[in-house]
Amino acid sequence: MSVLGERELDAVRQAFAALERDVELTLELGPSAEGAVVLTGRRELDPGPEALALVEQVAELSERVRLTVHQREEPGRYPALQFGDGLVFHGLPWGYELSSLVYGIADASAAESPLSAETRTALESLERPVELEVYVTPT
Amino acid sequence: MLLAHRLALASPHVTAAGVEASEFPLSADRYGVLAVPAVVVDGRLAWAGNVPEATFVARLLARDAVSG
Repeated sequence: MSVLGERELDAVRQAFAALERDVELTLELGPSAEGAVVLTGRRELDPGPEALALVEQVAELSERVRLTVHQREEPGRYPALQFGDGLVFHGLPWGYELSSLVYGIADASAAESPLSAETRTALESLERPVELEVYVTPT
Repeated sequence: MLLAHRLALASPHVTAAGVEASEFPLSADRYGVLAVPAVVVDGRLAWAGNVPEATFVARLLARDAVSG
């Protein structure tokens, strides 16, 4: 199943040409969806296969991107896509901009953090672990 | 969300998740998410809207100062 068009594929290839390090993507798929998700345009789909098709297609565009897929049986928020040591995204990656998926991979591949020196210094003074969850909607 | 991702990559103390609110409305409701992007810190809705990098980090450090 091809999810992306030629223009999108070219754009992703260009972005991936600058990847500096290998990136491990881990996609967790759950038991069958509770119900089909209806996206803008009234298209109904099962998010699991859709997420798999998209992430597989993106991962194939760079040798630096390695994809591992797990099928989970326990309840959870699936699909869940882990970007290296960074963020895990719960939901259909197609539901947000493709660019977020690509930039997320690019950031996880960066040899040096794009954060400012001030931010990195400030992070070192964090005294306790912090758990962040950012809620977003499809754009 | 990209900023949370970058913070998690830069610090072993930070774990970050992005959640598609319309796919997981029960999670969003639990935290009282009404507008996006909404940032939940340690299980509590902290703020909604995009903020500059320095502000984001300052708020995380303020959490240490208040409750640490």
